[in-house]
Amino acid sequence: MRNVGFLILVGLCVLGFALAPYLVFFVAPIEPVQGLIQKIFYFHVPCAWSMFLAAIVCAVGSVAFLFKGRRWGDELGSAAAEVTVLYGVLVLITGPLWAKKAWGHYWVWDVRLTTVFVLFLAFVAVLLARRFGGPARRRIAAGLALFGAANVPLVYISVKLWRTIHPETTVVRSLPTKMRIAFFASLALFTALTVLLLWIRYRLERSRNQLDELAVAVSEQVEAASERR
Amino acid sequence: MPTPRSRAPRLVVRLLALALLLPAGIASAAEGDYQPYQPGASGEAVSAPLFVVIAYSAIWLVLVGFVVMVWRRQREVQRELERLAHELARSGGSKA
Repeated sequence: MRNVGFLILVGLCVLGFALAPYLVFFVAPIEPVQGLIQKIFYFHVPCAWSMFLAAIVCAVGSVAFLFKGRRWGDELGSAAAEVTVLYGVLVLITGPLWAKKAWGHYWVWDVRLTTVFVLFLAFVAVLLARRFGGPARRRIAAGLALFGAANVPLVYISVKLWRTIHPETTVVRSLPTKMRIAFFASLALFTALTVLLLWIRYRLERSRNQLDELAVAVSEQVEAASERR
Repeated sequence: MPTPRSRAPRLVVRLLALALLLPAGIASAAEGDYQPYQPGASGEAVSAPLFVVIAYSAIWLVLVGFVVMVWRRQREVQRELERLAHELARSGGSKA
């Protein structure tokens, strides 16, 4: 049953990767003010959405691990932190390319850009804590992930709270129909892709934990055998 | 010969330094010749199709790279799991 769900998800992503670019490049009209560069919007925004989604999933896993001691929480947190950083890289590549054409600079210390950068760095810190944090690395990483995820609502409302040159979130509602269809197709694709990436990364984390348990069992067996001798 | 594990901290320090210094460099460069924003007045001919292609290709490359990386790590862990399970069964363990 699990495999069926996995295969359906893979199928959806393959279909999405064929359909979404077609809708973006051939169906959605070219925006009259910004021109062709506006096409980045259809991938940049879904990447940011996926980054938020992964960060929230990471926070849920971290809470389950920190406060309930659930092992799946730790595994999910680890998987989601990596996916958050992955999408963070994509947001920080696609955004500046669009900004260069639209604003004349790759980067400005605008509040939206800065908060996204801080969010990205927080999750890089989660990964570093997991890698080099010593015996308490899982708990340190889970705590850091909560700080990182707390930044998500701030990033979202930053364009409403402060004066910023970044487009507001209401821009989606004002899109013409064809642009909106392309945007939501791309959003659906990236959402499915995020779930798929979380799934495969979570499976890897589970296998790693099984490997650790098995390694302990083998060393216990070897010790017991040498004691018998 | 340095092992991949001993190289990792050095690589992390370099990446962090790059992550911290790069935006600061861009900011100081931008502050030096700051001008109020005027759409399309950057003075540089920026190729929109090229930027769209770079952005789209980067998304593909990063995502495919991540999937391949996870797949390779999963294969490695699976291989090690099978080896240990075999070893445990051979030494008469019941946990495998």
